[in-house]
Amino acid sequence: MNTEEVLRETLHAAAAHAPTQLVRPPSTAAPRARSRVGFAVAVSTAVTLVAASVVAQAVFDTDEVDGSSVDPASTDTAARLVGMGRAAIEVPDGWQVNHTWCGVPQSNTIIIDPNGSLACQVPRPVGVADIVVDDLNSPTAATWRSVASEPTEVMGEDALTGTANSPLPGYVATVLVVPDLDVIAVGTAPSGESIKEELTAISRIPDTQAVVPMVIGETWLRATERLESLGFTVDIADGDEPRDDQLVRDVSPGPWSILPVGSTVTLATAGFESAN
Amino acid sequence: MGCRVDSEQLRQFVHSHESALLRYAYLVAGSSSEAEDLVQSALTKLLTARARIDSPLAYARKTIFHEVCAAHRRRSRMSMLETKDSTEFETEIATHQWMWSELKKLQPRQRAALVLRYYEGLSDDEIAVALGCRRSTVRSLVARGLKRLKSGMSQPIGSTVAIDNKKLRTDSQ
Repeated sequence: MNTEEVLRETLHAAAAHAPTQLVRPPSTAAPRARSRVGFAVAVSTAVTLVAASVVAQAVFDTDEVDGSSVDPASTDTAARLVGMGRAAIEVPDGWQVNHTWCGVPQSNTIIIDPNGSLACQVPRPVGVADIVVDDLNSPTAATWRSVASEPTEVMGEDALTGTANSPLPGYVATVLVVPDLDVIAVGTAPSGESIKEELTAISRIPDTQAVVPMVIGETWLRATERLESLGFTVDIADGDEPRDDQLVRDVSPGPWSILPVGSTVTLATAGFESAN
Repeated sequence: MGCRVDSEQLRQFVHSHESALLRYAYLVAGSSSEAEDLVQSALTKLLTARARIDSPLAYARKTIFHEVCAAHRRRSRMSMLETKDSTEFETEIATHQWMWSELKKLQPRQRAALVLRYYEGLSDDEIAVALGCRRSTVRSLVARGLKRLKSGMSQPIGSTVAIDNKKLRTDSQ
């Protein structure tokens, strides 16, 4: 019997041991966890919500954009992809992107193209983990690259990994280098927590797609050149009359979005001064 | 635009898929109590997000998977390996027992991909939706998961069985 057959049989045998029904309120059994109480209430109220659906519908409709379907990946309970260079990084459940203050993470966050100043002396909240994603010519790589010495594989790409104590007391840094993607990822998490899952969620972006770079703060001319060199078409925001040396105030879709090559990216400059 | 999944549809969904989701959660998480928490949490989120989703089943699977990953990150690797239901499989044949323990050692992404492929029978595209990744990633996860299981099957099953049987005999004395 081969591995697949054993696996299939094992899974079906194991499934027979799975619970068949959730604990129901109110008296069949005492809830074993607070979350269970939450769902018990949720399920029992689901039916009564029919009566309130008119009100609920009005509320829910405000969350829809152009009537399009919202994939679970775009909700707060699932992962979404952000990109840097040729690397696509899955942002885990509940993690933000670049949620920093003066370069210091303020919640579990993926930091792409780090450029924050550490001179502000902003404290890092207790227990916060972060992953810095940067290219292999960056200061991040210069600091951490030597830590990654153990060969591994990430989504089919050859990689190197390793761990070291973080300069932050009580934190451990896990480093992942993917040379073919020109990317280094450094995960910093409280000791005892594994951040390997997040670090291995890096894959190659197909040639038919490209990443919107961080062009906010660059001149219109420079931003346009960068976007067009990546295969994007640049559009001007309504009401804008940009000059070449005017600074970009906003970009849509936002920085690090992964889009098909040929997509239109809109730049806004209104309200921003010129570079000189 | 109205709710994509109304309350009646949600109620029917819970009735229709509760057991299936519990089995999926159990196979991915490896524990009955965790499976119940995972499904309850997923359905709670489904309740609040139902206006924005087209496929409650895909949403629930994906939510369960990400909750498993989040829990995995919070725990140390060693505590993850502790089986809460260690007695559940004592009556199963040793090969399944070994495979089940090896499955629990896989990363949640690999385990979920294998469960969706070999238990749920989903296609690469469907698994990609459930895990929120690309199809090529699914193929990689399945291949790496199988490779790890195969590397273990090539040698130690016999010895593992012998050790397990000896341990069982010792325990029963």
